[in-house]
Amino acid sequence: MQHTDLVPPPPSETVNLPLLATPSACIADFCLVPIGTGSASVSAEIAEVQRLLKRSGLVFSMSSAGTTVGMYHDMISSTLKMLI
Amino acid sequence: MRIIGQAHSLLHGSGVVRIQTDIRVGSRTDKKQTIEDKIAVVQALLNGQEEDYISDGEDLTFEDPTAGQLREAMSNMHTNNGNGMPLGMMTQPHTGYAAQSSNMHGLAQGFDPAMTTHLQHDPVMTTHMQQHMHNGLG
Repeated sequence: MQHTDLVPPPPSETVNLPLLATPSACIADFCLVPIGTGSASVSAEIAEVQRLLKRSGLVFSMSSAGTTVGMYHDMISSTLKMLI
Repeated sequence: MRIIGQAHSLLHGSGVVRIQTDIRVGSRTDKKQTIEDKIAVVQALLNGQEEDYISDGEDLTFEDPTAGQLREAMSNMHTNNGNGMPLGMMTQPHTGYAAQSSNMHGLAQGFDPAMTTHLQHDPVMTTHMQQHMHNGLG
């Protein structure tokens, strides 16, 4: 790879970044890890986050290594404005 | 997403001084898809595969092709609509590969109503998979 490949291109004059919207729907998977609690266990903190998600009204699914959260089109009008 | 930031604030408020979160975000513009949709497609494929073996009344253990043949077959599934399956694969006694190849090719294109219709009219479609479709799981 040539060095020039690492130089970012100039910003496009046709894209107004402040007005560029993000996708209206997405699915996110996140893994949150508390650091420096003095314990190797993270279950108590994860439980707090799960309670938060339940209160949010979002669709979510916990797995052994993270949580998937869905933000769907039909939720935008109600939940999106409140949470995003 | 703001909910993740709120999760950080929640735990910081509980005394956790440092939190690291990794996020993977997926979005697509060709269809509406839920978490359950993504999982159900794979689950239906797995269930259908099991049905094939059971309905044929054959032993669940089958003659594994060599790793090279399997790799070539999987490559063909994505590029040749399953038609490029090596002849030896088509004549495997367990019958699974020919059926799976057409379905898996469709899966590579994504899962949409057209795909559902295709599967429902597919003669190799199993009753188990149709049940999933009917229940809206696939």
